Amino acid sequence: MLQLTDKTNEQIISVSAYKRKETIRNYATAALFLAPFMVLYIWFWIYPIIQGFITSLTTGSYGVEQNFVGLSNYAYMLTDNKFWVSFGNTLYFILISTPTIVVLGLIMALIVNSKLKGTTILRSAFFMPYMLSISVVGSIWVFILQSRTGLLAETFQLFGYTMEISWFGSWGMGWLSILIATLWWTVGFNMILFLAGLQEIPEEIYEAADIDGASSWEKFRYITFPSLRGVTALVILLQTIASFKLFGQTFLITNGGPGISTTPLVHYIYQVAFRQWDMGYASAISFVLFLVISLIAFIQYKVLMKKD
Amino acid sequence: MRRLTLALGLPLLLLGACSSDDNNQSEATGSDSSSGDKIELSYWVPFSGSDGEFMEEMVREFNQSQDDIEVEFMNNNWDDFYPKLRTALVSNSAPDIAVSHVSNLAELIPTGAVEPLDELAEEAGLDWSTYSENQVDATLVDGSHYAVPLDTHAVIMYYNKELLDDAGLLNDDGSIMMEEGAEGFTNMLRILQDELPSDITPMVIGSNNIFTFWIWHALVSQQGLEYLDGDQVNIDSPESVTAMNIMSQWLEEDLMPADVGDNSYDIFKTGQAAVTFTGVWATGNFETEESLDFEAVPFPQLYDEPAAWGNSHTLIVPAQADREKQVAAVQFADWLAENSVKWAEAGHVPPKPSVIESAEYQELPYRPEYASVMDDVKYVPASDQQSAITDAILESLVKINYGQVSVEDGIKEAHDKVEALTGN
Repeated sequence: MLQLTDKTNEQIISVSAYKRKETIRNYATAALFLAPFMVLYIWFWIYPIIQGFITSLTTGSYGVEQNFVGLSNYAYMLTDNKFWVSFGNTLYFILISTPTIVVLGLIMALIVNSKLKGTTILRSAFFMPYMLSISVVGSIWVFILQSRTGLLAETFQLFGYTMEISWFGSWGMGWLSILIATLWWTVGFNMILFLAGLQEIPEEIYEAADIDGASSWEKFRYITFPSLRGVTALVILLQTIASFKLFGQTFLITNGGPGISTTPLVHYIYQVAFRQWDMGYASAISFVLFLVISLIAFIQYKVLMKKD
Repeated sequence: MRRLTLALGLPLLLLGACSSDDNNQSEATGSDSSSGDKIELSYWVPFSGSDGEFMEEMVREFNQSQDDIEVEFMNNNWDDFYPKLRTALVSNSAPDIAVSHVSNLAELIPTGAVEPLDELAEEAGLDWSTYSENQVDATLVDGSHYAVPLDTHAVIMYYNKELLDDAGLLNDDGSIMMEEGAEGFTNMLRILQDELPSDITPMVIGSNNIFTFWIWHALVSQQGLEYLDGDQVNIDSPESVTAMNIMSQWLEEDLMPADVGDNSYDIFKTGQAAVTFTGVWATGNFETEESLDFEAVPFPQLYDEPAAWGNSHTLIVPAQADREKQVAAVQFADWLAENSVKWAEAGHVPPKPSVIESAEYQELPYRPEYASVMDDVKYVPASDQQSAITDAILESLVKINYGQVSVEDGIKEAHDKVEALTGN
C-alpha cells in the first residue's frame, strides 16, 4: 500500500515535471512562431508610438533643435483655442456622419439584397467610389460643387436658373459638402458589411413570419433589425474611428476654411507638424487623439457588445 | 532541433537581408565615385503641372549635352514636397540637388543640411553677376549664397482684349485705358460692369484661396509696408486695412464674384471675366484656348510704388561628403539657368538678364511683356515660420472676403496669430 502510494507520488511528480516541460516547450514554439511577426510589429508599431510619446515631451523646430520640456506641450493644449475648435469640429463630424452612414448603408444593403432586377449593377455602383483614392474624390467633389463653374451650378444654369449656393463658404455648408463627399466615398463599404449581415439571417425565420401573417415592416422591425445588431455596432465603431481620422476631405475640398471652421483635429496636427515644423506639439496632440479614440472605442465596445 | 534552427533562423535571415542590402548599397556608391565614370546626380522637383514635362525635357537635354554628369530626374507631388524634402534633409537621405522655392529657404537652412554655395560656385565656374540682382539677393542668408535661382514667377494681370475693346477701354497699342491709382483701376472695372453683358464679370480672382493672400501682399507692399520686419509684426496697420477694403469694395459692388477658388482660371479662360490677377504659370494654360484673345502685363500699380507678389524656384545642394557631386550639382544648376528659355515656355521669367535679352526669348509670345515684373517682385519676408505665417494670414483674409468678420477685426486676428507664431 505504502509502496503503491510512493509509486503513485513518484508518477505524479514525473507527470507534472513532464507537463511543465511540455508547457515550456509549447510556449517556446509559440514564441518562435510569433517572433517574425512580433519583431516587425514592435519595430513598426510599438516603437513609433513610444518614440512619438517621447517626442511629445520636446519642443523645437524639426531637424533644428529638440529641447525636453516635460508636459508643457500638454499644458499648452488646454489653452490653445485652435485645438479646442478643431476638436469640436471633429466631434461634430462624428455626430453628423455616423447616423447618416448607418442609415444610408442599411438602406442600400436592403435595396441590393432584395430580389429585384439590376441589383448586381447597383451593388457595384454603390461600392465603386470606395476604390478611389481621396485625391480623386476631393477633385470630383470640388468639380461638382464649386460656385459658378461647378457641375451643379452649370446644370442649373442650363435650365435657366442660377444657383447661388456657396458650398464651401460657411461652417454649415462646408461640413455638409464634406459629409456628402465622405458618404459617397465610404458608404459602399458599410453597405457590404450590412449585406453580409443580412445574408446571415436564416430564410426560415421569414417563412415562419409569413405563416404568422407578419407585414414587411414587422418583419424588418422584429427580424431584420435585431439580427443586424452586431453589424450595426461594428459599423458605428469603425465609422467613429474613421471620422476621428478625418483629414483628406477637409484638406482637399475646403482647405479647413473659411477660417478654421472645417479644420478637424488631424488636419490641425498636419499644420502644426508640417507647416509650423513643431513635431513636439504635433505629437502631443496626436497622443491625446490616440487616447481619446482608445477610450471611445473601449466604451462603445462595452456598451454595444454587451448583449451579444 | 532542425525545426528550432529554422524558426530561429528565419527572423535572423530577415534582419540579415536588411543589413546586407545596406552593405551592397554603400559598396555600389563607393565604387561609383572611385571608378571615375559619370557622376550620377539625383534631382527632386515639385512640378505636378505641365512645367514638370518642360523640366524633364531640360534634364534630358542636359544629359545629352555632355558626358560627365548624368542627372536622374524625380518629380514629386507638390502638396507634400516640403514635408518630404525636409524629412530627407534631416535624415541624411536627401537627393544630390533639389528645387526649393526661395520663400522656403529660411525654413530649410536652419536644419544645417543645405550647403552654402560660395566655394562650390567658384569651383563650378558659376558667376553670380550673370544673374538678376533681386533674385540673387533673395537667396543670401547672412551674406552667403544658399541657392541658384531658376526663375521668377509672379502674380500678374491678364486681360481679355476682346472684352476690353467692346467696352471701349483698349488703347491703340493694346494697353488698357485707365486712370492711375486704385480709384482709376476701380473706375475701369465699373465701366466694364456697365458696358459688358451681365453674365460677364469685370474681374475674377481666387477670393477663397491663396491668391487672396498674394494680392493682399502685393497691395500692402505697394504702400511700402513691411508686414514682418525681423520679429516685428506690422500686419495690424492702415495699409492692410486699405488693401482689404478695396477687395471688399470690389466684392460689394459686384465687380468680382465672391466664393471663387481655382476655377478663377477657367472663368477667365472661357471669356466670362475681362480681367484677372493670376500667376505667370497660367500663360501656357490660357494660350491653349484659341477663342481667347488676351494680354499679360505686370501687376498694376494701385498705390505709391510698383510691387507684386512673387517667388522664385531655386536649386539647393544638400550637404554631403561627396564634394565632386556637389560641384557637379552647381554646374547643372547653372546650366539650367543658362538654358532657361525652354523653362520660360512654362510661363516663368528666366533668372539671367542675358537670357531675357536673347532673341530666342524675345520671340516667345506674351512672356517678354511681363518679364519686367521680376524687378518689382517683393518676396515674402524670410522667416523659419513662413508657411505657417502665410496660412495664418490667409485664414483671416478669406474670412473677410466671405464677410464673416469685419476688415479691421480680420486684420487684427491675423496680426495676433502671426505674433504668436513668431514668439512675441
